[in-house]
Amino acid sequence: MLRNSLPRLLSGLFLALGLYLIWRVQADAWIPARAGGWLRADGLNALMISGLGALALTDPHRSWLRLAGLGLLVGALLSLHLGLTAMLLVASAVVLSRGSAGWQATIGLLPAAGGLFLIGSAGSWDYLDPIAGAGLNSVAFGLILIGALAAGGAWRGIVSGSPPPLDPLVALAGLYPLYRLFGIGAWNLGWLYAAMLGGAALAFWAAQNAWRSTASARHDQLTLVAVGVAIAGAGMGSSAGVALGGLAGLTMIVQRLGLSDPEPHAWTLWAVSGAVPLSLPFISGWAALAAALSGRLSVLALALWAAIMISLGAILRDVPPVVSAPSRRAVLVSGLSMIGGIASPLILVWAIVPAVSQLQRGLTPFGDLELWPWAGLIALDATGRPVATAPSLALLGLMLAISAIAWIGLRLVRPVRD
Amino acid sequence: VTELLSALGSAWPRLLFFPGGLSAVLAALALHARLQGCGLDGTPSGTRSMLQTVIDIVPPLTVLTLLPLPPARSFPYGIDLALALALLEWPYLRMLAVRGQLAQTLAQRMPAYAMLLLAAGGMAEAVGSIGLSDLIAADVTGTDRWLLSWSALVWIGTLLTLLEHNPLLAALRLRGLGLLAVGSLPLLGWLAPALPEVGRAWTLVPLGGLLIGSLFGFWVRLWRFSSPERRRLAALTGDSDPAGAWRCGILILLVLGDAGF
Repeated sequence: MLRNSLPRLLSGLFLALGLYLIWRVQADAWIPARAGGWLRADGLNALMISGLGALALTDPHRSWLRLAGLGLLVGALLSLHLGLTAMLLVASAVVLSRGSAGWQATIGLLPAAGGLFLIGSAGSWDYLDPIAGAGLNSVAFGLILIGALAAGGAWRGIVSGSPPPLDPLVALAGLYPLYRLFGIGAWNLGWLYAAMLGGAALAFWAAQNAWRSTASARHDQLTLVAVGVAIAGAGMGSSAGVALGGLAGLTMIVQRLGLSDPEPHAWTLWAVSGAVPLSLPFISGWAALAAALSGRLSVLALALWAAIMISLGAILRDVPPVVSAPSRRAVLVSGLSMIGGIASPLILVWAIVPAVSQLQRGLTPFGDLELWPWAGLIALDATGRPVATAPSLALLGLMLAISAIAWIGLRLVRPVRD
Repeated sequence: VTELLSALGSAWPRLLFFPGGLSAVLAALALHARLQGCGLDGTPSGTRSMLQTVIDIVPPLTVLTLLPLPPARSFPYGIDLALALALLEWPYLRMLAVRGQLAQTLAQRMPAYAMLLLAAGGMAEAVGSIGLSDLIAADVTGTDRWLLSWSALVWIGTLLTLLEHNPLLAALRLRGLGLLAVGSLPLLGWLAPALPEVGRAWTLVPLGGLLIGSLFGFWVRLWRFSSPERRRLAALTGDSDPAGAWRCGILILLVLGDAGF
């Protein structure tokens, strides 16, 4: 009993650590004095650690080995020293490769570690040092981007056509070096385009695979869609893009929690598909479109919208016509999805904005996703003009009022029809 | 919070009369009577519980309530095209799921949805925003003007496929009206300067609605009861017919060209 529940408990502790760190770094990053300047917690790694903890909790393959791999990943994220981060990423790739998905799922972390090593050796090992930016060149960037794209195991699917050997922890951790680059220096246009193109292509490819694949292989493909959207978000190089990355990560967690059930309930499928207005995947899909449009990237917006619509269809096609009583998991997933979506303005302000503001050094002003005070979310372009609006809280109030009117109206009409 | 509550409180004419409430229900009934008269058929619906009906009706009715149409009182929290499309499609997806036809119908309608997205992308590229209030008030010239009007026509034309064989449910009638109204916004924006300034706010929606509704009905009639040659003409903006594939190409070229590729 203890043997089974202890890994879950420890995964929960990592989630709690991440949430504590998010609270701790609200105003500024935290460098613990006792760690001798080796560790640093900021909005980005705090958010990622919470995400990794939550993913480990939803993971059906819980083991001590995976827990050790998770610990190494958390260490890599917290390290202020690029060389140590690279080494810990390699170590976690080795440890996690002995788990369920094998080395093909974890190999993506190696090029990412190589890229970080190149930056450190050519610039400075301390990523806060302004000289660290001198080591950021196209080779290092290319390795890190390839690492992020390959961390989900998509390369294996592209080469052989088989379902990707995916490890969700690695898929999420592969995004960290890419987003960390914004703290090291500004990206050039070519890098932004490469990330946008690579991310959108991965999302689209995975979405159409999800549409074609069997129900059991589908949730891994959907995780890849979220990874692709997050990489495209990084490619937008704006505050809105980073915020999109955060929302895509949250959606990935909720989808994995829901779809790891061998026979997901209809409620679960609706809640994780993005078809239910105001649910978390729905808001995340809207954010993808809004973030791309706020940078005036209509073609990217269309590609991401199409990928999200296809993955929506891929999830909904499994919905059974007859709905049985919901299981506990279905209620939990639906609740999380709806609360996460309606409270997304608060999540944005509390968990995502600290990461965005602490990465400002490398971000462009082309697009911002902001809180629309007490109404919802709003996307602004470089001139501060609204380009997309999701007034989730205002909409909720309005829908409640319309429900009441519709109910009264139907009560008046029905007796006549009957 | 006070601001939000006062905005919701002062929105009651929108909720009860126009553009939501009574006017939306009457317009939806009128539109579908006209479309059925033109040959766009519906299928009989089963009985549904009151709760199911309310769950289905509310999202499309919300979109209709928030449409930025004059002379409705302004509402500070408008929605955008993506949100409107998602809210309008909710009852349709739910109906398909209940009938167990979701996978099959989505696969069939995929080209129509692709056209709808492309039209939305065209409007977004032309206006630089997807806010519904920006679509009706768009001040665009040159290529953007062509892109916006062509995209609006493609949006409306695609509805030929999306409104076909739908059960006769109140929520789906509201969905049809909402989809047509959203696609009409740029066209109403075009029509507005042609009307006399005095009383424009009161005449724009009835006149524009009548004009666009009649043209759409004519379009449906042309599509349903005509020879293949005429069908090709109707396919200028409609359906997923391969004969009209070139319009899709033109729209892609316009979007890409305008995006600066």
